[in-house]
Amino acid sequence: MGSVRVEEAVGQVVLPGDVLLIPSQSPDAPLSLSGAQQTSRIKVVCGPGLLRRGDDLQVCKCGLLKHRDPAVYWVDSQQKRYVPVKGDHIIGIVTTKSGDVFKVDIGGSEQASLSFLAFEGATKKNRPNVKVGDLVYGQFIVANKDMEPELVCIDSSGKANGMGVIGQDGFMFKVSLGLVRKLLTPQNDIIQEMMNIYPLEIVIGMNGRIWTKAKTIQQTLIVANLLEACEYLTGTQRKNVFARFADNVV
Amino acid sequence: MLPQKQTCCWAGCIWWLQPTLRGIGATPPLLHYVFLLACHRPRCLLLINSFLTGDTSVLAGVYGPAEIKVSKELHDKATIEVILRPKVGLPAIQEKSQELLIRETCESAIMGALHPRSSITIVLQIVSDAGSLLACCLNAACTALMDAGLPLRYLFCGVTCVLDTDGHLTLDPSSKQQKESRAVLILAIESVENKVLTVASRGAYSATELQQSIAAAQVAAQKIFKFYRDSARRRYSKS
Repeated sequence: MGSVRVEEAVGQVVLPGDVLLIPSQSPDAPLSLSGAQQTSRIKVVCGPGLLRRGDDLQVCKCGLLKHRDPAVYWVDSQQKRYVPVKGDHIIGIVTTKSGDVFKVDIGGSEQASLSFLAFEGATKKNRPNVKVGDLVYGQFIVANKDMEPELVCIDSSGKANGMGVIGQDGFMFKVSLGLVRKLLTPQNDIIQEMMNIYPLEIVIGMNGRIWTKAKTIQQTLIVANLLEACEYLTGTQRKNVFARFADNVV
Repeated sequence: MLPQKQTCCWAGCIWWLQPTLRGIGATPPLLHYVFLLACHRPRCLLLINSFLTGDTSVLAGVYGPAEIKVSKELHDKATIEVILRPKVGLPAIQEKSQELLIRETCESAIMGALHPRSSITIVLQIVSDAGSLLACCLNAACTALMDAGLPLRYLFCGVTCVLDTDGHLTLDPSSKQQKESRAVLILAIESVENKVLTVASRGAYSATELQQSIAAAQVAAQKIFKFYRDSARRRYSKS
């Protein structure tokens, strides 16, 4: 592909090394040699998988180029390895308890730390009941490549807001990050369709972990398998499969 | 201008490991990271039997960015490790030297600074060797890196050229051609500026012949990059 105009590449597969040209705002504008440098290019925001190269964008990840108005571009890839991002909600597994912090496995390159005070209603006297091996649903407040990621299970006003330790039963499984993003998009109705088949509880972490619980273990497993399968099904195929299960409900 | 008597028969296939279908008509990749198989010569497309009968194929897996031992970590970039497993037996000196070559090539392509203090492990398992093995390893490594979604500066590919005693140049030789040749050159080409990343060679050749080989490899590389793009399209066609 080499270099193409960015709007032509939207929705297409881009490979590392591809250069996306940002169109000039007005090609007829006169060049100014004096004063502040005038950039005639449209301002863009580049998301994951894109880097700036001079005035243009360079792709550094394999995937589909996505666009959102006014000018946000990113590469959506089907990778499986999670890289922590500040503000993401994830499901972690508590691996060790050391003093005031828990170490949590988040599926990334490093374990995250979680303070025992970062739970709703926790004080120095009133410690939260968290054991090694527990699942926690939390949010990153520190996540960058140079520092240890840090999780909290409360929002800025000190409320749990759905976060915290996930209950004893239920089932956790891993899917690709692409599927998680697909499930979490507001216009996606997979979860809603699933709820119509079996009533269920579900927690989706941006790190590719999904925890789910339905009425019985059998139903939980069916839900897990259906969600895993959704990655490779088109909308109509999915509806057919779901319809088959909806009929079987006693 | 292309050197005469050139046979460029590179073609590859991706072989997704398809597990028994879990319930619904879906084919999720079985392993932790998708394992790609880049295999040479078009005859064997997707037929497992035929590439076991003699064409070169390599299975590649990429793990990373992952946790790393403190003794191995680099504070400013990712530690890249390549493990090349021969078909039988334990890796020996030859494999170690090839590992080094593949690692250096991968290192130039991977943006390691984006994942400091982590490890990126590339495991290459030789499935069968029918010549042009190192080039095939490079192709497999690149497709696996691409599929794992690691940040790359460019794609790369490996091309093998052999020169026989008459000075004829052949691309992508069989092991027999490789043995009978006067010189073998393995070139790694990158996709952005089409420049040479790595040259590994055996035997005697002149400067002109090197230039000729590079020119031929650059032409062949375009086909490989096109194949990369086509396979990436196939991969993303369902989402």
